[in-house]
Amino acid sequence: MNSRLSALLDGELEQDGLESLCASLRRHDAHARHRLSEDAHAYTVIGAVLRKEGALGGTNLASRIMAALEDEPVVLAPRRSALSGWKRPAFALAASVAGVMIVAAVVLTPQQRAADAGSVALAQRSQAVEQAKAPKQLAAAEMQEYLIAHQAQSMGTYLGAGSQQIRTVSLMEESAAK
Amino acid sequence: MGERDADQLLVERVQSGDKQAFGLLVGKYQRKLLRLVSRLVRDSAEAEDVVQEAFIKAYRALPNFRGDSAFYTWLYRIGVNTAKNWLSSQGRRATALASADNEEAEGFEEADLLRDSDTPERVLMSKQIAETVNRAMEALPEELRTAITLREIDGMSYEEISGVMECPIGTVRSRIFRARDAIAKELRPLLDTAPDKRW
Amino acid sequence: MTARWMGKARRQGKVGLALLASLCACPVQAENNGMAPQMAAPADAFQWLQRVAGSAVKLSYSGVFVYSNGSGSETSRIVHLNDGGKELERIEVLDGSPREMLRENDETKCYLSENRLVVVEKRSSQRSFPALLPEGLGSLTDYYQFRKGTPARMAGYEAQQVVVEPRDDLRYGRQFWIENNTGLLLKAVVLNAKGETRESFAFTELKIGGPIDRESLKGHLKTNGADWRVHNVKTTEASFDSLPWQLRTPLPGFRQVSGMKRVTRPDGPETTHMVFTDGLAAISVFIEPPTAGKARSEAGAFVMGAVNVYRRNIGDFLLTAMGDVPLNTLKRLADGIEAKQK
Repeated sequence: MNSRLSALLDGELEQDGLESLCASLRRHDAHARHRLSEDAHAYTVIGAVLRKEGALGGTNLASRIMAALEDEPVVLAPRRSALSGWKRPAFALAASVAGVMIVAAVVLTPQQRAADAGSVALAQRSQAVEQAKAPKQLAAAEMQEYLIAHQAQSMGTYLGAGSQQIRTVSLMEESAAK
Repeated sequence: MGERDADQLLVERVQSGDKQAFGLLVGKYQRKLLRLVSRLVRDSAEAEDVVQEAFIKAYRALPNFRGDSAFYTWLYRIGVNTAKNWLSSQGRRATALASADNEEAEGFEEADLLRDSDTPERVLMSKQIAETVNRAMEALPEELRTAITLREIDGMSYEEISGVMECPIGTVRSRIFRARDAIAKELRPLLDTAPDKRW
Repeated sequence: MTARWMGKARRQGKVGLALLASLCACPVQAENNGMAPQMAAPADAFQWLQRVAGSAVKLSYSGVFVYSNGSGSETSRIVHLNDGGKELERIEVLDGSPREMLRENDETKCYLSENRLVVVEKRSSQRSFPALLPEGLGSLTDYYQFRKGTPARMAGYEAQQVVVEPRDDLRYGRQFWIENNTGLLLKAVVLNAKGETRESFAFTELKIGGPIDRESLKGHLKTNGADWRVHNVKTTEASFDSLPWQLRTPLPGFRQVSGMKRVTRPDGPETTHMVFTDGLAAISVFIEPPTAGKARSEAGAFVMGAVNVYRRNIGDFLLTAMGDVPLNTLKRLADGIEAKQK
């Protein structure tokens, strides 16, 4: 792992190595992460000495900063760059030969009578499931699906149906493209 | 891939919810940012506080970072703004040295080792660190020393170094790592007993 | 939309005359170029807000708006025509990948160029803004304070600012800028407790009233490629009360307004989706059973743009709460959800 860290600091860690390193990071406990940050700190200090730079006596702030961030909510931002190299799966809904998929959601409203309970059509949607992806990416994709459903139901339509719709569908596209 | 692309990958990992990955960005840039901030905020402990705040701000603002500029350029601006805001909240103005708008002009070198506001302990610590590193460098096998020198002082990429040293890139990476590993072994005891380690 | 809501509310006998009067104040006149007759400016901040409901439906207008939140911003062009009660609308997103949406009343078609996809959906239930709880208007003022701010001029129109301040820390503040004559919403922001903007929507260019060029309502994206696919979304009404989850302690001001079951993978779990609202803000709660072979998802707090997210585990189930409310509110709601006793 330290060898990867060394390459990372030089900006020379390829994507697979980065994923590996991040996966290790998540598996490790706080103590191991602290050790890793101490090593990173030592490596950067070495470079500073060789280049005869200043601020050598600085302490390792990484642990302290990460501890301060512990209470921060995890940020999630839509993926933008093509650099990430994630394979774009075949779009989730395009599996059928006819190219048309029906998605049915069961909407329950207070006014509906109990007799209608029988007519439940559940959604069928095949999904290209990305194997071997780290849990966090999967979490982000799930969040996107939930976000779409949330926005479809939520009150915040500033202009009526239109802009809500396109925002919802656009997010669906970003979600499927992961 | 270039350094900027490598950082971008890391940023995107954080943006997809990997908070710990942010720790890698902190590890990579904290010293550089501290050096910058120290030119604006003279007291070392206060400079460290400002750096911490800048990283926290950067974390929160990360969804806004689109890769239009290099990550460090963006971080650097956050650092400068945080430092200036902090100074004005203290009723102080940035020191005369601090026309910190040119990120490449990090030119203050040996002079930085001795600063008015540094405590004697910190000054001594700096000297000891420098001595330890230089000593450990001399003890390294030549190919390791060459590799790390080309990387750190000449700023060459692994590919360039592999051309100069006429060895595969994998070997370059391994040599640089082993050099760091060996020096860090000597350095660690010093860093572990840093005066105000808070963990 | 508005008429449907009013029908429901009237049946429940909960709506005061004043509201009905204000909402009925602007009948649609096709020959009027979609301009509502001028209404007397209301004195009351809350009444200003009520004018917004329905104005976006009744009027004809065209313009450019910008929507932004913590994740970034997007500019879109919109054209909306009210043709004797029938709505025609087109929204074209000007940033990022080419996308446009065409709408006729409740049926929408979204064209997504990059994905070569058309999403067709007929919405059976529609909520309009600002949505008012069938309970009546009183509850909204229990939890928010409404006051008039300063008049402003934006996108070439005079607007009245309405400031909505939460009375507790369970919700975010909002501000709206409402066009003086027609009640069209020109700008809206959501603010956190520190007064920082979390989300904003604003017209940068606008022309209210016709005539609207029909050409501008036609789709512009080329869809003649053979690789375009169509996705039809259908919703089905069914009954209530069959959800196995409930909220143990009510969250002040919020009530549940819908519940659903969703299945997104053929072999996948059935996820419960409940929606709560206080009239301005909405919270969704998703409860998903464990999936064999899938790693247990992380609990905790997340942020996605203007939406906060909080996840927790209930036994083997994963509960995800999300909405445009502070994280503590989500946590409180999520912590109060439990399985119904059989």
